[in-house]
Amino acid sequence: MSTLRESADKALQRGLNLTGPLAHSQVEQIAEDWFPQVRFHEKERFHPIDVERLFKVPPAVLAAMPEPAREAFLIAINGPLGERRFVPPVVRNGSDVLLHGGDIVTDPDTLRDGTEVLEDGVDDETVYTHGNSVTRSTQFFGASDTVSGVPEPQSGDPRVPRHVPIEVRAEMRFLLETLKHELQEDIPNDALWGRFGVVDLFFNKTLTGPDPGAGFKRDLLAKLITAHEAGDETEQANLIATIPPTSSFNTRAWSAVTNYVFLEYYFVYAYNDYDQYGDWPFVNVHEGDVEGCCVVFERRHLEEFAADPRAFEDIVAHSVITSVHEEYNDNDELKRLPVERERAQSELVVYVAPGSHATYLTAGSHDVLDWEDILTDFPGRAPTWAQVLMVLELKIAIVVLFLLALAEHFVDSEDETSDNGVSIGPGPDPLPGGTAFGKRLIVTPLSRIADAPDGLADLNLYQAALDPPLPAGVDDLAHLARRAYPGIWGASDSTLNYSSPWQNKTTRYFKKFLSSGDIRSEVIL
Amino acid sequence: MGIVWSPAFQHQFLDGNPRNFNAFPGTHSVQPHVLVVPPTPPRDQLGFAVRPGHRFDYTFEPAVDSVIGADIKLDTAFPALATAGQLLGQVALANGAIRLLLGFVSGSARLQLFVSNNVIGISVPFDGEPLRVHARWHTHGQGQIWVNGTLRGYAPSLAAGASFTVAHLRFGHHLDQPVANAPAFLIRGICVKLLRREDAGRVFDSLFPLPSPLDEACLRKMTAVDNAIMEEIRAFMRRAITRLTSRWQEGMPGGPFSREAVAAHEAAVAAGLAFMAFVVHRRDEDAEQVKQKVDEFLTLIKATDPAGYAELVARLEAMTAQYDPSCLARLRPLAQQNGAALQPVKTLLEALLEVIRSPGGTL
Repeated sequence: MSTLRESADKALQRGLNLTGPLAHSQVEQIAEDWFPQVRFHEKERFHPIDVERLFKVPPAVLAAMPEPAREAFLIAINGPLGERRFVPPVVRNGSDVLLHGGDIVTDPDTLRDGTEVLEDGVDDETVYTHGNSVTRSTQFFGASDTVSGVPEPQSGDPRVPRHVPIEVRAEMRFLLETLKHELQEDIPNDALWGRFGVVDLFFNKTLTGPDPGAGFKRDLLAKLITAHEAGDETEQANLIATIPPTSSFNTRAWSAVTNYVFLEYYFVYAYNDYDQYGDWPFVNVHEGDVEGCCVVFERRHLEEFAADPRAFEDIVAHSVITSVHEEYNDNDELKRLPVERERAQSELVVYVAPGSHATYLTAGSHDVLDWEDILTDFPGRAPTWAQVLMVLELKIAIVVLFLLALAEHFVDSEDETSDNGVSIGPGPDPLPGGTAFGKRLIVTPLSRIADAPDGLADLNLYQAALDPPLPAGVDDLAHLARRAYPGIWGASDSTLNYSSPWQNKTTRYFKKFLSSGDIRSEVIL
Repeated sequence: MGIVWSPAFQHQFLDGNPRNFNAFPGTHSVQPHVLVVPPTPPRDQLGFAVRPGHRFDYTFEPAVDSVIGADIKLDTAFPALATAGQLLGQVALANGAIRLLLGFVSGSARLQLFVSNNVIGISVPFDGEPLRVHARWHTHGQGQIWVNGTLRGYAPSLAAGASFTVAHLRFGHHLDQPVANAPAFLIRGICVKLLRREDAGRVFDSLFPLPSPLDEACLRKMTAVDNAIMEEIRAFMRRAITRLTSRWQEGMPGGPFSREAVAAHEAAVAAGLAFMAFVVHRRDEDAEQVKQKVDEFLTLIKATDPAGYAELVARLEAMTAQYDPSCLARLRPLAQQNGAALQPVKTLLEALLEVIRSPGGTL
């Protein structure tokens, strides 16, 4: 377990900078300009909030409730001291409560609000919860009446978001820089540093024989990046020639990582109530849900913008990628945007399915598909658990196989997306009263850390944990502690219904870009 | 948690890039060739133009075997003036053994689903507006065609009992040679799902994931008995379907499904939902719902052939003796480790066994 201060020291020492030559203020400009039109379904009950609200809203809502009603929303924790009850939310390691709602200052403008205690003592098994039920999530975060004031939503009369403006997080990652930091040893284990697990994608298996191994691959990629940054094409060719004949280098992946930049938008939800909208057997429910989409840029466009020859108005995004259910489903969508700026912006529309919060690129119904490696993981037999039960009662086999026969008739599961619900988009807030709502875009500073070795100061969120804080740094340790929190955003933990940590989606977006993107590949190695 | 049917190919033509699709592992080719990805066209031009000489081929590597169901969804659109002539297209699987033919001419859309030379065909009015065509076949014999979400045609015994190896998907026009100035319609989206013989087992395995201690030989033996039992169940279901449903297409009086068929379907769906809810929540009321709905379903199915049903159950019970005792013995340690956790499921399944033995008589 590493503390945020240790992570911040590493960020300083390693010159962490994921936005290339762009300053944070430029990233903010681009993130606003290329924010997609985001269209929610009219029935959506939970709209995006950022993690700050996950902490501050429950105690604020509870404080406004009459005293007798509050009791039902307290969170019971059983531990060595017996049952204790806490104001939500609770952050705990097992029964050890690290933080609870009673500790939190709910004023949204307070920088140090109590959540900064999460800078230490948390790991990937720590659990955040505001009660782990749809009832409690609805009480704190759920929409109720529609725009016209009735309880049942209709097309064109969606549920009004409970908390406005709707909050969205944006994070820009230049892929080459992101890979460079991924390849470093001893990476901090926090959600802000994140992961970019793509090393194997750069190597195609060509012959049967031993794999070159993870160490070889990582070392080769690190050296290739150094040679690429030095502009040494001969060295790059020499390095690639060292790859054993059992593998070949994936030049398409190299082109992608060297020529493109991801601007990732994250939508944080209090609850996934997919069971209200989806079909058996795919539906699930869980507390907490981090979803989103990604806008892809050509690196050279942003480099030219940073160096000034390209005007801000001449930046045109390249593609948009969505995030559909689980990463292993391999069902994300991608669209190459038109090359004309106006068309590209008008066609940059992302739809959010109700409940699951999967994102799509068109309105209508979408087959929920699971492309995971069904050729290799397919067991081709009755489930093991059924075989185990057959040891206890042999004829149970008949029942299980009968249920399987029934299940064969459950062909479809669909997500529905709509043009007729709540929407948010780029630009100033819309006038009140309609179905378009204002948004607050929170751009995570991931640029040059102040006093970085290159002598250029900018802004990186890790600066909040440096001791002493740097002059140009941010003084919001709570903001950093929430975003870097490595634990689980929710207490759902069953096989089907489980909460997840915040995992940056760079890897899955890269996989989709690699498989379906229109990747410029003028580099021939 | 997966879907029971396996997705095989999906292309939504979201941009001008022919390779922007999802599929089983495999390779594709497009006629005419696309050498350079064209810029993303305006929305109304997105899609695969179906005219002579235009086709999209996909080869599954490896081929998908033991396919006992196919589900094809097509979103079609018709550019202005394109509907003046005759427009033809097709989607073909397994070297054409399963194929959906589309014809649009003179205000009428003719849709035919062929499976092993059996066919179900419908005609619906066509005014040039986009159509969603959805065709499905299951080895129980059920063939169905929907248009814009409404069932338009049904067959109860379409290639009943058949299974296929699907190595190839082709969609586009059946003629290989281009024809100058030929009109075209657009495929805006295509999604093909396949049901393999053991797909449902894959989904159920994920309900309580346990590592299997069995070696390949034991797995093969166990699977062989599973498959034999499943075939018996499917054969009975095929006969029940022909008694509860009838061939139908829009325009014919009544509908394809008898009152009992509708009730059986609803009971099966409710049983499935309740079983899932029971797995998730382990609530007694869900277990009761499973028992009740399975009982309702089986009572209706049994009524189609009471004697045949009794023989089926007796045969199935006898077939369980074919499971290899030495293979089962290897599962015993896992049973001891997980017996307590699986006890609620065991209790429910034992109750369902009694329901299967005498539907309508135990609850």
